[in-house]
Amino acid sequence: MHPVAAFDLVTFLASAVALIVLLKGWKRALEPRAKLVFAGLLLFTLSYGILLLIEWSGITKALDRAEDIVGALVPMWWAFVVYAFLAGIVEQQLLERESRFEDLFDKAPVGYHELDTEGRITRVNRTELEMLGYQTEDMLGKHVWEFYFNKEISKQAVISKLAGTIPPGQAFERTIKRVNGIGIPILIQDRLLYDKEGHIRGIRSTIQNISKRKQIEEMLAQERKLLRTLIDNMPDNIFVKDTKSRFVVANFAVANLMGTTPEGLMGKSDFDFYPHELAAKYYADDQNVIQTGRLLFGQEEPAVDPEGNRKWYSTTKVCLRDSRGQVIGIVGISRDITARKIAEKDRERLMKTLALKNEELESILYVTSHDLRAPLVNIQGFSKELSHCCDQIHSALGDKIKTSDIGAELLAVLNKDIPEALGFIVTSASKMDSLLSGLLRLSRLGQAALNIEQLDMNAMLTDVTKSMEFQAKEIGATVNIESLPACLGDASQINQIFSNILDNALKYLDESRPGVIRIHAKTENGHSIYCVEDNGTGIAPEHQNKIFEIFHRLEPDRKSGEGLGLTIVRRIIDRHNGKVWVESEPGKGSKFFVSLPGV
Amino acid sequence: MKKEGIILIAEDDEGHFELIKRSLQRAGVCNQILRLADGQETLDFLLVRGDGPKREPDKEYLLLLDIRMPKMDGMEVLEKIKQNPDLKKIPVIMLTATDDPRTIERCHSLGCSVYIVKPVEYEDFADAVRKVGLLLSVVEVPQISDAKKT
Amino acid sequence: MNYELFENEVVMLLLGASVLVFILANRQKLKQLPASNILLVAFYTMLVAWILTVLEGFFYEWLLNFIEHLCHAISSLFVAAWCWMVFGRKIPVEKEAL
Repeated sequence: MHPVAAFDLVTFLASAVALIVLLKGWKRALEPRAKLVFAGLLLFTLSYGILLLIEWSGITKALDRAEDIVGALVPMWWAFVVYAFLAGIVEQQLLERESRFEDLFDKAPVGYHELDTEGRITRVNRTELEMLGYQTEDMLGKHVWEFYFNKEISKQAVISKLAGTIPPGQAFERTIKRVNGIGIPILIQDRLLYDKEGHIRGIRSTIQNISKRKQIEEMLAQERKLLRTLIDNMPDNIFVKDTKSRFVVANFAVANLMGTTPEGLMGKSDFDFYPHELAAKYYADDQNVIQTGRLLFGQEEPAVDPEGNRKWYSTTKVCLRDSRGQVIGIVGISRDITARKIAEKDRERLMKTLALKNEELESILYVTSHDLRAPLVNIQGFSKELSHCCDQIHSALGDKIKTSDIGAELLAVLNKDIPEALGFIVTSASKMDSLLSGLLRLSRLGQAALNIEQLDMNAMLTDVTKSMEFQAKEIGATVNIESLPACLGDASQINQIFSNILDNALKYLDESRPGVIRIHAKTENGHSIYCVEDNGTGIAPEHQNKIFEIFHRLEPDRKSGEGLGLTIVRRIIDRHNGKVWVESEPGKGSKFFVSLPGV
Repeated sequence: MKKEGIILIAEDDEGHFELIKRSLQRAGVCNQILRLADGQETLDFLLVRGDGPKREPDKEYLLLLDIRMPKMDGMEVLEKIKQNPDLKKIPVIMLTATDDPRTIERCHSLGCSVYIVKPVEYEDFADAVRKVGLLLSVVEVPQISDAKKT
Repeated sequence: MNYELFENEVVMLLLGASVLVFILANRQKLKQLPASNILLVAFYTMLVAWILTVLEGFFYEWLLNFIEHLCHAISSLFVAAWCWMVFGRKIPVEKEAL
């Protein structure tokens, strides 16, 4: 066989096979158009094959013509095939895109609906339906404004937009009706839809449920209102200034101080209200805070109110930063402390006066006691001189006096009257001296510097007791010292206190029983409270306060002393900011309490 | 101290002066005693100025000084004396009523030789003065040269 | 030179050429077809056949004719193969367009 003929045979067979396969798999997913076209191609290929064969067999020349025609058609069919496939692909893609779009549209995170030129809903997505609780058929075809609360307004707006008279604009809020009649706040954004000629064919809107947002907004507004009310009505001045020290926010207190309203302060600075110097100082403080970022805390500064009165304020300024940390101004709070300042000044003045008076008193005491002593020296001295003179007279007269008459009288005077008189003079002078000494000691107490240190009271009281050991033994008294806490004070002066108290205790014992003195203590609220307890004669209630008075003595005739002991004790205690008091029962005994700062 | 030495007593109170004088005499001091009534007079005397009595150049002097005096008190006098190069040789005995430790301290630091507190009790007072007297009888008092005068 | 030009052969060639242009222009899209290369090879061989049919009128008549018929056969085979691959196979070839 001619090889060409063999080829033609192959062509024929292959086409036949292809056709059979095609017919078999006809049901397969294949676009109908493409199917037909393809079948056509195969058919023609087949026919071509047959014709070629027939030609070879040389049956008839007439088939040549047919062969040519069929041959020409083959490429045409190829063209159709390709075209059909392409179209198929394109359409498929379109369909897919459509379905993807449908999906996107329906399941969008926001509600979508589309309106036609009359404002009727032509399309509504799943999200919106779910948001509102309707079914598709409930919404399709209805005018969109039927669903809004402000029907008329919505209607007007939609119609205007569709007419093109107003642009869709920014997002706006409406209240939309749910299926249960309850309205929910929504945010709507409209877009106009155009047809191919550029005319408005409808509106597409996105709907967002802003109930949550609205709630938060409401809460915020409440908070802000609350805050504003708080700020406004606080008696303290609260203000916010920008970086140029101009007021941005101010409450009523500030406005009142500056003689205007909060609105009147906006954009103005201290320079518009205060004298230049004062305003400059405030400005400098503001700028310092802004530049250094450090806070100004509780600074006491002067201010002037609209009437020109001088006032004092305690001011705190802190810098205000934005979200990036940049300083954008300062926040200030200041409190009127005029009253306090005045009180402070008064107090200072009083303290000074007091101190001065004290000093005066002390120096008077000091000087007086010295100056008073000098004449006493003379009184005493010359009394003695007189005494000497008497002796001289006595020895000069000698025996002669015993014999004469006037002698007896003279002797009487010399031996009795004059010495007696002199005696009284001397005693009184002595008494005065001791009183003055007492006063001197007292005044000196106030002048001596206090050397405060921690004192071991056990050791100190043991010392004090030891120094009075002799006295105690003599009168058969025993002193027991229990464990004592330490305290803060001047050693020598505290020693003096306890010496005096113990001295008293030993002095005023009850003769009917052996004297027992017990020294114990406790701590309370940071103070050490010591107690000297005796079983002596006790002190009657009406005397209990008097015993601390200067020169007061309970039993002046029977007991010695100047009556200064407890006065000194009180003086020292006062200087130590402590307390001293007595609890006593006549006949039973006394308890002297001393409270000193503890450790 | 030689019998020619003069005892100066700067004391404004007459009574005190009398008492001191009598006590000294009773104690056996027989030097001349001169009274200076106040601080100003004391200084004038020592510095040889003013209208009142004046120091004589070749005599030896001892000063009993009271603190509390009008016009110029004893401390000031003491200070001025001790600052003067010539006068500072004069022994000064403070005889005064103050027993304030600060005052005593100050006097000593200024350079007084002895500080005696005047007691009110006469016996004590007389005793103290007697002791001073005894002291005076044994103490050597230097002569003040006239070479330099302030 | 033998000058045998058959109009229909030229027409066929021209048509085929335009289809070729079309195919080349949409190559990307056509790739989406399953086993598209096989189908395209089938076409290319057909095209060669058409070219040769015209050319055999000018020279190498016998040789070109030989090759021409060969191409026809090959093309058919490829078409058959494509058919079998797309429609004959049990495992469905899921491609987007079809």
